[in-house]
Amino acid sequence: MAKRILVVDDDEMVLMALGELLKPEGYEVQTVSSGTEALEKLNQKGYDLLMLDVIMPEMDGFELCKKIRGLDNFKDTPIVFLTAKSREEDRLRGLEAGANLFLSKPISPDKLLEIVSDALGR
Amino acid sequence: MIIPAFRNLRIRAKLVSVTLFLVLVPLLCVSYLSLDRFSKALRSASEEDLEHLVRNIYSMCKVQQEMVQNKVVSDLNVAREVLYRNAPEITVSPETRIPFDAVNQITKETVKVTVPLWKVGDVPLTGNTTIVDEVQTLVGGTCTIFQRIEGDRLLRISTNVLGKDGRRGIGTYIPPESPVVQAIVAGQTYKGRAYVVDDWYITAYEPIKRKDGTVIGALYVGVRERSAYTLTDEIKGIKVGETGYVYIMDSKGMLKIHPAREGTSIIDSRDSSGFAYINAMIDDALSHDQGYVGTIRYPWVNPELGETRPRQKIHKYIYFKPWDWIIAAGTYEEEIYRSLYSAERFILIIVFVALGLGFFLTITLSKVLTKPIQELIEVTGRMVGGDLSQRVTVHGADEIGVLGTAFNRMIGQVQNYTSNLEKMVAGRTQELKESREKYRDISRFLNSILDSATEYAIVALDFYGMIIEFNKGAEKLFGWSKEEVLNKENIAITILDEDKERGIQEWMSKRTRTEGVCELEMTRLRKTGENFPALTTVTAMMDPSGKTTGFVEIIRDLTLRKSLERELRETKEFLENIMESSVDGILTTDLKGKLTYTNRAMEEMLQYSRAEVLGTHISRFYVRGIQQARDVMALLRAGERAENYEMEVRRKDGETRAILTSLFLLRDEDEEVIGTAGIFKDITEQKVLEAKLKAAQAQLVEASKMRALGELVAGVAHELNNPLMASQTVLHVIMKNLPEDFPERERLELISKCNDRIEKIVDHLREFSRQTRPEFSLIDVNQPIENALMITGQQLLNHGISIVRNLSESLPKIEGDVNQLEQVFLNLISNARDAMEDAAGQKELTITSSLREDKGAPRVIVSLKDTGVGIPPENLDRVLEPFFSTKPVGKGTGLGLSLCYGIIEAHGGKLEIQSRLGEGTEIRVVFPAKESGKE
Repeated sequence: MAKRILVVDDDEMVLMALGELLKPEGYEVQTVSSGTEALEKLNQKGYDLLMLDVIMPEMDGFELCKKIRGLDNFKDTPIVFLTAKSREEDRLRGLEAGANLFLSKPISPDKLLEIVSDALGR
Repeated sequence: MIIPAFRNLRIRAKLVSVTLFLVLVPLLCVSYLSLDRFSKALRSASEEDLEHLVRNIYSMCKVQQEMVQNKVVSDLNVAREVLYRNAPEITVSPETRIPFDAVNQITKETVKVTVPLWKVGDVPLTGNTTIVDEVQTLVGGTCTIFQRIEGDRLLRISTNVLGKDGRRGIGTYIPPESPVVQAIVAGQTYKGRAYVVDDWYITAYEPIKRKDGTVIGALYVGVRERSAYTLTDEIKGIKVGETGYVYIMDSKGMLKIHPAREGTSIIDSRDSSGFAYINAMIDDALSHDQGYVGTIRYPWVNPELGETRPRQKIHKYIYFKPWDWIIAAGTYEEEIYRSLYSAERFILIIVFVALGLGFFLTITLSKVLTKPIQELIEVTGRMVGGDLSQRVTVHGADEIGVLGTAFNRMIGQVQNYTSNLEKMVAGRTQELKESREKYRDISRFLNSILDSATEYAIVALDFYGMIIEFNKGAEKLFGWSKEEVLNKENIAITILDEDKERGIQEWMSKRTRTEGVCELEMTRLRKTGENFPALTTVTAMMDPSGKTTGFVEIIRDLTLRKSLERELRETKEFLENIMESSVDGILTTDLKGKLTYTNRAMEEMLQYSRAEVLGTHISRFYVRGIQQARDVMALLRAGERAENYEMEVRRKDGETRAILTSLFLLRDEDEEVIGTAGIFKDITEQKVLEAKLKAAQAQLVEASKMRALGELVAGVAHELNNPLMASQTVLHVIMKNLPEDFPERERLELISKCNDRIEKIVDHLREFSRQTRPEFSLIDVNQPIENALMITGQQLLNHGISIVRNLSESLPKIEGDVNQLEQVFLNLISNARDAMEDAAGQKELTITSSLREDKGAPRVIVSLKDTGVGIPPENLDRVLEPFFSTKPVGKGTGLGLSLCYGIIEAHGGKLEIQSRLGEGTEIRVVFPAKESGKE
């Protein structure tokens, strides 16, 4: 079964780019542009990997991450931050929020694919 | 006193009185004198008469007496003869003693005696009267033989002196006191008056002596005095005057001869005033020598004759001792003067007649004389009355006539003069009238001033300070009403007691009189007793001769002024205080710009004392000198004030100070400019601080600009991230799926390269915006230098740049972040490389690290010197600006130096840039040393 990835980012371009990148690799990519939508989707379906942007209106990535971690179904789901914020404290914060990885944009596509596949245990 | 009174009498009166005087006085004198003379003569004549009378009688008596006496004496001789006819002496027979009852002839005492018998011859004497009788027959007088018995008595042993009883006085004796006895006992003869037995006799006694001289008795012959009186009738018949007479009394006042009262004693007679005149006469007569004629005058009235008025009697008297007769003659004085009185009367009549005559004549004469004068007077009177046509009629050419003529001439002249005078007077009167009106106006004016000067007390005083005028102002000021003080009180009531004691009134009076005016401030007194400060001005009122007649005092109440003065003074002091204690300098100048005032702060600011600068021109202190002054003045004239004007001022020590000043024009009440004033603040320090602040601010601004920029850049970078990533990702995907020989592969790769560059740029941007906290530690500055050189060394060599290392070994450590400093040096080296890229000549980069001391603080200096193109001076300030770059586009972002600067600043260091166009640039990085180096 195809691994399902939820990508949360308020920037359409990013969502589009990641879709273009991940879909050919055979993943099912669901893109949402806000934390609220993300939580909705999470209610409906399960996902194998969550990719979160940090800087979003209304609910930022960290908050979302915490919330996701609060959900029974997604306690252990790998969450990866992909954000322009690259400071050490951001990284820590991300990890504290429950993410497994903290990546900075821009990131080379190859590297990203590698990380994804690692995370999904392929 | 008499003389002026006399002068005022009319001429006639004068004449009359003088004439009368001239007539009367001599007349009176003469009459008086003559009368006097006459009366005196009369008096003396009558007196003399009296005296003569009395004296004559006296002489007569005397003659008589002498005659008798002589006879008696010669009778004594006869008696003696008779006695010693028979025998030469008396025989005393002591065997025969005859007893006698001897009787003192005076006291009539009896004493029994026995006496020896006396005989003369055969004839016994004792008891025998033969001899004595014979004698008597012969001579007529009496005769006695005395025998001396014990006790010096003379006993009559034979006598024909008869006693009162008619019998012979045999047996009587003369007591020893008797002058007779005394004379006889002394062996002397006694002649004179003597009392014999019972009566007075004219006597002669001679002592009977024994052969041995002892007196044993006496022989006597005598004649009864009375019988000598043959003058009696004659005397009685003498008349003195009309009623006067002669009388004789003895020394006991017994009238011997008197026309009426013979035989009476008048010793106690008194005159009508009670005076015992007879006594007086007797005393007087007896007390004088023989021949003295006494005079007595006494008033006498005969009431029995109906007389009431006592009349003066005059008596003259003389004492005839032998007979003890006081011979007196007297009369009423008036009888003497009778003739005198008639003479007086006569003379008096003469006098009055003469007087009357004189009076009449004088009056007539004076009339004659004074008539023309009188006329003169009348004419003059009429003339005085106004009628100048009058003339005097001239009678005669005497002095009065001459006077009359002259008078007429005079009147004529006077007429002329008066008509001229009248004209003048008329003119003058008109003038006078006008001036009087003026005077009235002025006086009205003055009075109205006096009245309206209700704020000024105007008081007029007489010389002694008595108030003679007191205006409304004075009433108001002092509280007394005009009626209370005018001519009643002295101005002293408004003066304090202690001032009066000091003599202030006298001083004021004196001062005013000597200097004309006296003004002084003093405390005055109101009616209520209240004190107030007053200004008193006193002037003197003088009469035309310059003598001070009084004073005018003007008094002003200074209470208000004084309180205003005090306020003013306090305000002034307060303001001065403020001015002086002001921290800012305050200065004023006159119109010309010369200093008129500086306060203490200004003095300190300029370092000149007030005295040194007042009067000097303000441009002296301006750095820009007179031009500055002109500028300031222009500014003030244009705008009245110049606020917060900055200028430079030179102090006494020559140092220039930056001054902030507010200047303004000073104007007087008429809005005329009288000078300038300024408040000065030394802002030199402030400016330094400001500069520092500006620098700091600039830095802050820079920093915040930087921060903003950083944020902007971060934002941009951030924004760019996503599309960049998207682009890269999609492109990657595309490229991955493309065949090798895809014809557009090259173009796609170009796009990929573009993305890469974009990424680089974004990285740069991110780097720039990153504010990573540096991690400080004590480091050796050479380390990041070496690191940087290591990285760039090869590159530099490749560019043909030789590296010169001058890294000091024993530099003290600095506190810094190795990585960041590495960044800095990388950047600097990179810049140097770029600068030398197109440089001509040798490309050399010299890196030096050294120790420098900046004002005592140790600094570690890293110097990078290149031989590049240099930085043009106009760019020097801008090199640290972010995004400033002279490099062509794409070559550099211009962020490098600004980033370096940020890092260096964070290290507490400085960037020093020195550059010369065409020669090269040296960049020095200065770090504060944290640790002393190993020396």
